[in-house]
Amino acid sequence: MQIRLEDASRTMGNEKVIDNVNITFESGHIYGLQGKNGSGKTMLMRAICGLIHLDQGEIWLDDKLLGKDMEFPESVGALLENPGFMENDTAMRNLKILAEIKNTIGEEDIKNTMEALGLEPYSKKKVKKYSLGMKQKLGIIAAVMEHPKLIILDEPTNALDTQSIEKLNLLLQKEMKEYQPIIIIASHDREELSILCDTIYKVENGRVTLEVK
Amino acid sequence: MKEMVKQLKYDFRMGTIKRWKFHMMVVISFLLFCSILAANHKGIAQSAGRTITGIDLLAYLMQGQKILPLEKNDMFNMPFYWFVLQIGYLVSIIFFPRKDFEIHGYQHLIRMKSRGIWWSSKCVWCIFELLFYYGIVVTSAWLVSGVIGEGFYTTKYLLIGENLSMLSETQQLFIILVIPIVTSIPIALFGTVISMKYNEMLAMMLCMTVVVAEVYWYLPFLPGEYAILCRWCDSSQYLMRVAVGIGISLAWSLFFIWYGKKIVKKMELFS
Repeated sequence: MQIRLEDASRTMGNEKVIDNVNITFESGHIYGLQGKNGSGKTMLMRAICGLIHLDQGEIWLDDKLLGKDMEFPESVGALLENPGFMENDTAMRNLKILAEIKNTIGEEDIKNTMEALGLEPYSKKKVKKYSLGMKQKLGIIAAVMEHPKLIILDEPTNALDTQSIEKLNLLLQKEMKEYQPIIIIASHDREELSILCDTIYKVENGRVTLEVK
Repeated sequence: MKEMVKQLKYDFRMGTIKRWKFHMMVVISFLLFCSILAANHKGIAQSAGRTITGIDLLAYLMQGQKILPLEKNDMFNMPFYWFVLQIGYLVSIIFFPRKDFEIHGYQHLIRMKSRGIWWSSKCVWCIFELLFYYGIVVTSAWLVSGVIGEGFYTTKYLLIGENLSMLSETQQLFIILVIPIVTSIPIALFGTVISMKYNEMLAMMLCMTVVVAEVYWYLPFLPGEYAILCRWCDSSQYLMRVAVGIGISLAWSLFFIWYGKKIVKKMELFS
C-alpha cells in the first residue's frame, strides 16, 4: 500500500494548517511526524483519515483518490485526540462494539491486544473510571486491534508510563513484523520517535520537511 | 446493507436503550399528565353519561387549539399539553445525532467508511425514536385509564369537541394514533439537520418557533397543522386532509433527509 500526498493544503481561518505537503508513505514502514503543539500534525493525520477535506491538492491511496473514489481509507485504525468511548461500558464491551462493525476479528484478538498493552480484558471497571493512561491505552488498542493497513497514532505516549511505552513499542514492532502496515506516529518528542520510526518528518506551520535521523 | 444494519443497531443501543433515564422521565411525565387530565375531566365525562377512556386522554393531549382569526381579540394561550408533547419528542431526538457525531464519530466513520450510511441510519433512528416516544405516550394513557378503572377503548363521542364526533371511530383512531407520528417526522428531521449544521440549541429554538407558529396561525404547508386534533372537524374533508397531511410530511421529510445528507457529507471531525 502507498499513500501519496500531492500539494496538499488546508486553510482554517487565516492559518494554513496544512501547507503544500508532498510526502509518500509506504507499507512496512513506521513514519514519525515531529512538531510542536499546533504545528499541523493532527490536521495532517485527520486529512489522511478522511475526517477533514483539503482545500487544494490530493491524497492518493494506491490508485484511489481520497474524497472521490473513497470517503475513507479502506483499512485504517486511528488514535486521534479524543477516542470517544462509551463511558458507562467496560473496555471489552467498547472494543467489541467497534470490532462488530467490520467483523474481521473475534474476542480472542481483542483480548490479546489488550493484554499486550497491559489492560485487563475482563475487568468490570467502566471506562469512566479509567485513568488518563488507561483511556489512552484503550484508544491505541482500538486503533491497532483489527490489524489495519494504515495505523495512525497521534501522541500515543501521552499519559503512558515508561513500562507502557515499552509495551506499545513492542506491540507496534510485532504488528509491523506480522502485517506490514503503514504506521504514522505524531509526537512533539523527537527522541521518542527515533526509537521506532524509520523516517521522521518535521512539521512546522503546516509545512512538512524530511528530518535526517 | 450489512453496514447499515450495524450502524442501526448501534444507534438503537446508544440513542434509545442507553438513554433509559431520559425515557423514564418521559414515562413519569406522561403518567402524571394523563392522571391530571383524567382527574380534571372526570366530571365532564360523567355529565356526558360515560367514563373517561384512554383514547379520551390521548385526544386531550393532542387537542391543540383552533385557529385564532386575526381580527378577533382572543387571548392566545399556548395549548400546554400539545406543546409539551411536541417539545418532548424534539428533546428526545435533536440532541443525540450531533453528540454521537462529535464523541463517537471518527471511530465509527473510519470503520463504516461512509458518512451517508451514518446519516441514513440516524434518519431511521429518528423515526424509530418517534415511534418509541408515542408508544410511551399511548402506554401512559392506557396505564392511567386502567388504574382508574375506566378502560382504554374508543367511543364515537370523544370528550374534546362535538366536531370530532362527525368522524367515524376508525377515522378518529387514525388521527389520534397515526397522524401525530407521521407529522412529527419532518419536524424531528428538521431539528436534526439544524443541529448538525449549527448546534442543538439553535435547532431547539427554531423547532419551537415552528411549533408555536403551527398553533397560532393556519399554515397548511407545515405538518403540525394536521397534528392538531381539534382542527379535524369536517368529515367530508377527512380524506383530503389525510392525503395533504401525509403528502406534506413526506415531502418535507424527503427534503430534510436529502439536505441532511449533503451537510453530513461535508462535515469534518475536529474533536
